[in-house]
Order: sequence, then C-alpha cells, then structure tokens
Amino acid sequence: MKARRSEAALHAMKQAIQDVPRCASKHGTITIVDGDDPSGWTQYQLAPPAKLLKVLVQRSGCFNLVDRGSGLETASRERAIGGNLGLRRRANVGQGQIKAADYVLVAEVQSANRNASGNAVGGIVGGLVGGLLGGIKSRKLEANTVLSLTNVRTTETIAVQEGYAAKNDIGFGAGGGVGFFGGAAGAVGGGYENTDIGRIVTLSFIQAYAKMVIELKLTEPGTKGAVGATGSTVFVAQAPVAMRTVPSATGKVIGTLSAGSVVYPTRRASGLWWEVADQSDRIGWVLSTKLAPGMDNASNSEEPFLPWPPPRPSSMGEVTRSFGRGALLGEYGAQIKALLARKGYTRLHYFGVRTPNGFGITTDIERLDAEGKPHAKRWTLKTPPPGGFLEYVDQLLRGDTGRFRVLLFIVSDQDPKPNAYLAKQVDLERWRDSGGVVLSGETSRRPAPSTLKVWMLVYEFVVTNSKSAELIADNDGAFPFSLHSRFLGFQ
Amino acid sequence: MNREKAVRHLFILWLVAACFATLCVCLQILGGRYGGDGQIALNWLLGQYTPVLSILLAAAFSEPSKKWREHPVNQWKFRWSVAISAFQIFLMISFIIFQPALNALGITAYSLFESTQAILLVLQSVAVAAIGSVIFDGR
Repeated sequence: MKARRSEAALHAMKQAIQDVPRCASKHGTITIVDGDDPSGWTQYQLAPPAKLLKVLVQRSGCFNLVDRGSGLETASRERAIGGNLGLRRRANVGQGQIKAADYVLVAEVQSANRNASGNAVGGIVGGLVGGLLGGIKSRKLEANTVLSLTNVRTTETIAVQEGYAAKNDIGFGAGGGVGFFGGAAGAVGGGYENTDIGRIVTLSFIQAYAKMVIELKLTEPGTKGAVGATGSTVFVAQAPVAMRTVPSATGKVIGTLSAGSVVYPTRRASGLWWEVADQSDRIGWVLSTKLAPGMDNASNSEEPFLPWPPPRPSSMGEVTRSFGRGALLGEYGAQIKALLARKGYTRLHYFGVRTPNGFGITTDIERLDAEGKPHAKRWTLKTPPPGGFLEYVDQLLRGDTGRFRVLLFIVSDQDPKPNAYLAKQVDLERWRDSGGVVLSGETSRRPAPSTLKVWMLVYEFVVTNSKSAELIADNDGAFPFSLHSRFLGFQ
Repeated sequence: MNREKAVRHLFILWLVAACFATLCVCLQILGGRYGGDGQIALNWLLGQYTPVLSILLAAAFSEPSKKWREHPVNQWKFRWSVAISAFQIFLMISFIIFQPALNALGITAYSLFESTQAILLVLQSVAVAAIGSVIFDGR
C-alpha cells in the first residue's frame, strides 16, 4: 500500500517536472537570489532555494543563468589569479567579458508546514482554501512560495507569482530519494529530493515558476518583448508565406506575403503559428519559421523601437515651432518631458525610430471625458467606480463608454508617414510595456540636425462594450488635432 | 395552504422576477451596455428562468381534480421550493444589477455570464425538481 503511494507521489513529481514550461528561445540573462527570510527553508534543513530554482530555469530554457553565488566567487578567484600571476598567451579571460544580468529572480519560502491543519496558512492561501484545510483537520504537508522577477534595467518588478502545494500524509507516501531531477539536470540535493517537505516546496516552486512563465508569455515564440528585455515589434518574411484566417495549414488563405514583406506580430501565437498584421492592414496567421526579426532588432538590441512607419493615428501634426532649437537630440527629449510633466504625464516610454536621427516618446493610455479633456480618473483603464447613484444607474444601463488617448511624439529629420495599419490595444500595451524609461544615452548625445522636426501623433480609442472588451481605434469620430495641441499649449 | 394556492404563489414569484430581470436586461441592451452582443446577455437570462417558468405555466393552465386542488400542500416541499427559487432569483438579479461594481473589479459582464452559467444551471435543476415535486405531488 505504502509502496503504491510512493509510486503515486513519484508519478506526481515527474508529472510536475514535465509541466515546467519550455521556451523556444532565451529571453535574456537571469540571476537567482534567495529571499530575505531564510527561516522558511532552514527550519526543515533545506538548502537555499536558489539551488533548486537554477535547475528549474535551466530546464525551462527561458533564460541564460549568470552566477552571482559560489560560481562567481570561484570565477573571481580565477580572474584574480590571472591578474596577479599573469595569464598565458591566448588565455580567454579578460576585462569586459562578464555578462550583466537582465533579470533578478527572488525565491522565497513564505511558509512550509509539516503538521498544519490549514488555519496557519489560511491567510496566505486564501480564505476558501484555508477554510477547507481547517475543515479537514488531517495532517498535512504544505508550502507556500513566492517568486518575483525584477527587470534590472528599469528596476521594475514585472511579475510576482505564488505557488502552493500540499499533500495529506495519507496520500503521499514517504519513499526514498526519487531523483526526480535526474538525467539532464543532475541531482538538486539539499533536502529537496529526499524529504517530503522538500518535495512539497519543490512542487510549490514549480507551480509559481510555471505561472510566471505563462503570465509573461515567454513560451510563445517571438515574444521577447514580453518581459521588456528587447522590443521585437517588426518581422520580415524570409520567403513567400501564406497568411491564413486560422492557425492551421487548412485555414483559408487571406493572401501571400512576398519575401521581404514587413509584418507586425500581434503577440498571439498558437504553436508555430503567429498572428501578424501586414502593411496593408490585413491580420492573419503565418508560420513563424518563415519570419525573421526586422531591422529594429538587428540595428540595436538594447533600445526598443517603434514600428516604422508608425500605425495610422487619429490625428497628427507638426509641432516643431513649440520647442526651442537644441544642439543634441537629448535636449528635445528634455523639453518634451518637461512639457508633458506639466500636464500630468509622469510615465513616459522612450523608443528609437528607424531613421538615423530621431526617437519617439509615448504617454500612458489616458481616459478622456466627453469634451476631450483628461477625465477625473484619467489613468483608469478599467471602468472607473461609479461616483453616485445616478452614475451607477448610468453605468448599469450604458456600460463603460469612455474615450482614451495615447500621445506619440516623434523627433526625426524624416517625415513619419504613417501606414494604413490601424493601431490596436495590443500596440498600446506593447508600447507601455517595452518602452525605455529614459532616452538612451547614445541617442541623447547624438547631434540634432537643423532639419529636425517634432510631430505629435494622437491615437484615440473608444470602448464599445463589445465582448472582446478591447479598445477600438477611433479615426472617424475623433477629436480634432487642435483640441489636443491646445491642451498641451502648442501654438 | 392548499396545493392550488401554493403553485399560484410560486408562479407569481417567478413571473415577477422574470419580468423584472428581462426589463433590466432589455434596458441595458437599449442603453448600449452590451454593444453589439446583447444576444449573449439575453440568452444567459432566458436560460435562467425559462425551464422553471414553463413548468409553472403548464401547472397553471392544467385542470387538476378538485380533490388535488384543495388538499393541503406538503409544507416541507413548498418551503424548499420557495427557498431555492428565492436564492436563484437573488443570484440572477444580483448578477445583472451589480455589474458596474463588478466591472470596477475587472470582471466584465461577459466573463460573469460565462463563469456563472454552470452554477446557475445546477441551481435551476434543483429548483425545477423542487417545484415539480409540489406540482406533481398526489396527481
């Protein structure tokens, strides 16, 4: 009986390992650190969880690991030896070779409990689960873990996920060391393999990591910008490729993209199929194996780029005269930032543009009132809470009928002739998520040519109460450009 | 209370609730709350009360014997029918009139319809069975 339970437990563990999502490509470099409170793992004689997480990250193939622990100490020692005693000729250890981490993954064990009845973790796990556990009153093994992923470049915590695992001791046999990480990764050790509580903590971390990878859409091909490391927005067809209505070879063909055609992924993917928009405003599914990153990726992998030409705005105009002449591109950036800050735009997103001299700045998605002025709850994308009974009844009957706007400033010596592609909510979200928080130093220090101009492109959206709950681009009933330029104080 | 009166009370309860809920949803559709997808809301609503109302309508238009009509209703069955009906009606109407509050929490009307469909279907089956036991008891 006990042996059968052990087999079941082993099967569950193997299944969990199988469930760790795999990425088709690496999304940057990552370093793993343990949480501040070591009592979560030390009380059960478990090794720090970073060791376990390294194996998970390695198996998933989503990141390249950089060692900041004992591995770095050893590497530093080797480098010191090289520095002090001299390296032999052609030794491949030198200055400027250490790779910086793009992300930091913090692993914490919030609670691991050997005999809880459920109440102890009720607050963490949630009232319902806690209540159920409390009601069962049986011996439990349970663990609650937290993973948080921080972007080193922006210091923004881009994902926090909790994992929870529990097993009754009646359903989880003791068993010996199961060696569930055997094979490619080797043994984890540190009590994670050969103790019950270690296995539960492992399951909990696997769950949190899987949720994080799925939330960030890392497993979908071509979504490198999802976590903000790179901003892949443009792809080029490498060979003639059919664009279909559904992600299947049997789908109806919308058209054929010729080799060299530029497409814009909408970030929806199904296996090898990506949904893309082409330059004629058609949206369909193509085989991703026939696409390669466009110029934006190739020219500069550090700076995210705007699609060029940009999507068709609701209105646009040149506003160069409203800014003083500057010697460097950075001076224009500073003027635009100061102007927008005066009008309450504190979060800006910086992009490169695919011209030699220029850059772009976008604002966050902003809610407008019926007259085109900023709404009292201007940064609320979801339906704002009703302010009174009448407003409640109005929302009950009419739903959320808001208008939204995103401003895009383009500073360039080339006219940004927008294409026919209508911006979608997914574009706005991509701009918001992938834009830099400051203008890159290289762009900022670039001399501003005398022909430099500043354009403002206004993207207006409406809520249509449709099932998709997406913002719909509004290019017909949009407010006039003069209304937006007046609001910003342009001449 | 005799059986005829009991069935009449249940019929009135469901008829009033159905009329109120339908009026609310129709006003919402006319107001534009569901955009071009008003049919989804109407389908969800009709699925909530049509089976119960149908069985009650059938009972109301049938002609049972005098003995059946004047026989005292089984109190336990009647109370259970009223309780389960009231609970389902409460949920159905709540999901309609609390939509703005739920929207503020990020729950759209459509996701609400989808996620409540199964539980309300189960409740409705229980309600139909309970009401059926009152209607067919002793016939």
